[in-house]
Amino acid sequence: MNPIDLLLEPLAYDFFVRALVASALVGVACAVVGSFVVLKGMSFIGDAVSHAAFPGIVLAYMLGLPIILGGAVAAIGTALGIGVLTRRSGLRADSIIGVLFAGMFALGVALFSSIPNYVGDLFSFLFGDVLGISVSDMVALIVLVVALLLVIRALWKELLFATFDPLGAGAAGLPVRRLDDLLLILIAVTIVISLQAVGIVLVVAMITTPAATAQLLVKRFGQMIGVAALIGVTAAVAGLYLSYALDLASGAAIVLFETALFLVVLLVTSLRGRRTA
Amino acid sequence: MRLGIKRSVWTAVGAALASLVLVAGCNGSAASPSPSESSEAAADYTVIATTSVFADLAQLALGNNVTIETIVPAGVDVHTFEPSPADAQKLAGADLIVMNGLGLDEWALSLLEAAGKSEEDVLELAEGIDESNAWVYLEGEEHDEEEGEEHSEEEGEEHGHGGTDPHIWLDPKGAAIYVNRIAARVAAELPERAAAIESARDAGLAEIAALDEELRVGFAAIDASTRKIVTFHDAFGYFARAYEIEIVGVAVEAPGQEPSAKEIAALIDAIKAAGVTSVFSEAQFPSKVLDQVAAETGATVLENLYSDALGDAPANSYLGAMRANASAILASFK
Amino acid sequence: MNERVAPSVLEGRTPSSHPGGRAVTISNITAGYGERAAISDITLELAQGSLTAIFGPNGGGKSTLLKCIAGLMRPWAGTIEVLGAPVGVHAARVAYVPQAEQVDWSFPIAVDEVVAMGRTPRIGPLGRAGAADRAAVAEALERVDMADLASRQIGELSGGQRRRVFIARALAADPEIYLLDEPVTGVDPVTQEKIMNILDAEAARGRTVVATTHDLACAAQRFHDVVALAGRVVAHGPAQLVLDREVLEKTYGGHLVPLADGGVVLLDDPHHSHGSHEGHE
Repeated sequence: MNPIDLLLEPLAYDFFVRALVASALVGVACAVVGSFVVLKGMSFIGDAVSHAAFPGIVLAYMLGLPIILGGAVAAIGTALGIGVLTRRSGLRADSIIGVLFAGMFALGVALFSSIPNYVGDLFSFLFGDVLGISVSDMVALIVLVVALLLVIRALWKELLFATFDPLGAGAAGLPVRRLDDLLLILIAVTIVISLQAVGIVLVVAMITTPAATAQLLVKRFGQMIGVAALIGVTAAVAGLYLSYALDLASGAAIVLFETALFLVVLLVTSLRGRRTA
Repeated sequence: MRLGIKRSVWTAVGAALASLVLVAGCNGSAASPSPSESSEAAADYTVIATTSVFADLAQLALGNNVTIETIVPAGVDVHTFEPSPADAQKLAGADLIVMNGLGLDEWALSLLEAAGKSEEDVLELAEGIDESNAWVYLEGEEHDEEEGEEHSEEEGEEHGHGGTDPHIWLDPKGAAIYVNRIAARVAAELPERAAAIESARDAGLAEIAALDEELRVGFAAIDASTRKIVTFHDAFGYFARAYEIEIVGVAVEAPGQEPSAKEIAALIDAIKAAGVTSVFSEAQFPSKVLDQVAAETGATVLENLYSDALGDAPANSYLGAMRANASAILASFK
Repeated sequence: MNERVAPSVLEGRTPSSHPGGRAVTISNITAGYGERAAISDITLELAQGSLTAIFGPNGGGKSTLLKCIAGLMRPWAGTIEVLGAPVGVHAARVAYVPQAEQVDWSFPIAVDEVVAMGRTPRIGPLGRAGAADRAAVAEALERVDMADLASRQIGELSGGQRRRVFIARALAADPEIYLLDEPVTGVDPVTQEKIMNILDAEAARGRTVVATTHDLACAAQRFHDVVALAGRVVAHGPAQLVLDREVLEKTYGGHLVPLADGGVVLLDDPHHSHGSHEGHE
């Protein structure tokens, strides 16, 4: 079978095309937001907020409410809570994040175990279910990702300034605390909409890895966002095709591709660095 | 005097804990009446079945001549049911424990000791049910050759089929065998009620026979070329065989985990190739994926089939559930 | 109440008068960290177009005072007016140059991207950078002599170059008031010279420049006015008038060592080292 056929064959299936679109969008959104997360030095937060969404999801399920809504409320609440507690308590952000992370997830597990039945749909939130995405899910995803990217495009220089140099930004009159909260909300929203694609366990990789890889390649923040987004899309497409060809779980394939790419880039750039040194 | 208060609080807590332990310990070792004793107090004969299906079959077999109870509550999945100490206590009050066997509800056996019962108190409906292989339906038999995979042990699943499908009752002829067995056992233990039991049994068997005929006619009316289904869980193997429904099953590596893109593509291909219009879902297979498969192939996903447990009215009896299944399946054939 | 040295010494010492009104008016402010006040009951006026150095010992409250003016700290008591309005109202017209250590130097940001941040308040949310903004950034880079390093990642810069980048960011913002925290501390003499020339030029244009420093020589030689700060205002006025021995004694206390010829030597505070300021004094 020639390469063109290999590429075209899966496209005959509607579910695969939808999965491609959804994963690519998620890849872009995560990579763009991830650039700010890496700038903040809070990659841990991606993991924490994604796990924090779990009790919201379970509770929504138990109450018969839309699962995404429950996840979003829990994720956004936790993200903002991280901001508030970090400012108020004087503890370092990573301590706060660690505490909330574990506590929220444990709450989710406790709630989950109280449901007497087996709940496959909830399970899919742990590892993603992009192959089951419906047309309406995909449309909602497109709308949300576009909205997210528009917000970032509109305010990115404010977000950059406030994240890179909060003191200088505050002195210049920027509402640093509100921008901080906005960024946390954007992170939470991105994570929640990405849960469908890769699930709670792996979404942190989609946020951190493309940005980290981009950081190895370019020196300018503007370029970094672009490169990260490109990596996000490429990994999504490549990962899905790999999952198809090799019969792997799709979410894991995407993340493995991103990780492998990171390691390759790391190797190449460090070798190059040694030669020029 | 802060210390003083603290000490008395701890003492109270300790006393409370100690008394809880004592009470719990006492309950666990309550003696239960043996079957022979209770035949004297005939009105109290209690049959406890593992699931609602077997409880209802016991009802068909025994009528109102005994008390019948269930362990697994309505709406709870038998496969992932985890019995609690309260369930053991419940069993302690049973004169007869009815279970299926063949891996469906092995957890009942593990409760026997805690309930103060022995294997003699248990009627295993599927035990030795067939020495001639008429009732052996192996999993993985009808699956596509290229997949050829046996179901692997599913995570958290207590099923452990080990090769033989235990859902014998989903063929009314199998249910009839179960009814006969239950009636025979109880009649033997309650000879003074044997006559009443036998007439209840006969009525039950008649209803089952009527059901069987009804379904046979209904399915025969469907053209053989459209009488096909896709199923993952082999619960309906016997059912399909009874009414000559072809199973075009596609093996999924590990049901309950996320199916790969290739597995889904293969499933779609199989459905289209075979012209199947009915897909049986199961709790462990992500229903979202199945919905998309159905949308892409035009097939109907049947989500609410009753296999291991009964549901709400009218499916709150064996006969009702079977009829509900049948009408849903018939409607999905296009 | 400002504590004054012997009236004879300070007679006639008012802050240098410059055209224009008051850029910064501070009335009886007290501020600090935790429970400790770093500055108490400070009253001060800085005229527009003035070039003022705030000097004093570590812990004397220089950074604290600057941060209060910049709106980064809220005084516990008293009021501050900047350009005629409470602090924060005209924040876009004030540029604050911090001690540069509080930034992640390893982050992939280029020199010109950092300088461009200075234009952010001017461009406003939802706006995009235009030709005027790009010109301002280019000009700022020229003035600090960093134009050819515009695409360099900030981590690759020397200490002096980093400082210049943040100065350029302030220049690009084209503010009316510059607040600089130890701008010439910890950098090489060449960079110091460049920075002071820029500050001179800005003051000459009518901008108000306020800088903290612990370099007395620099304060004396390069600034028009000085404020001696030791938790309170010891003196405020033209450098050549204020910097006499009595003021120094009152400001630095026991850190002065008398010399045989009647002069004094100021001992550097042993807790203070160049380039590694704590967040508070």
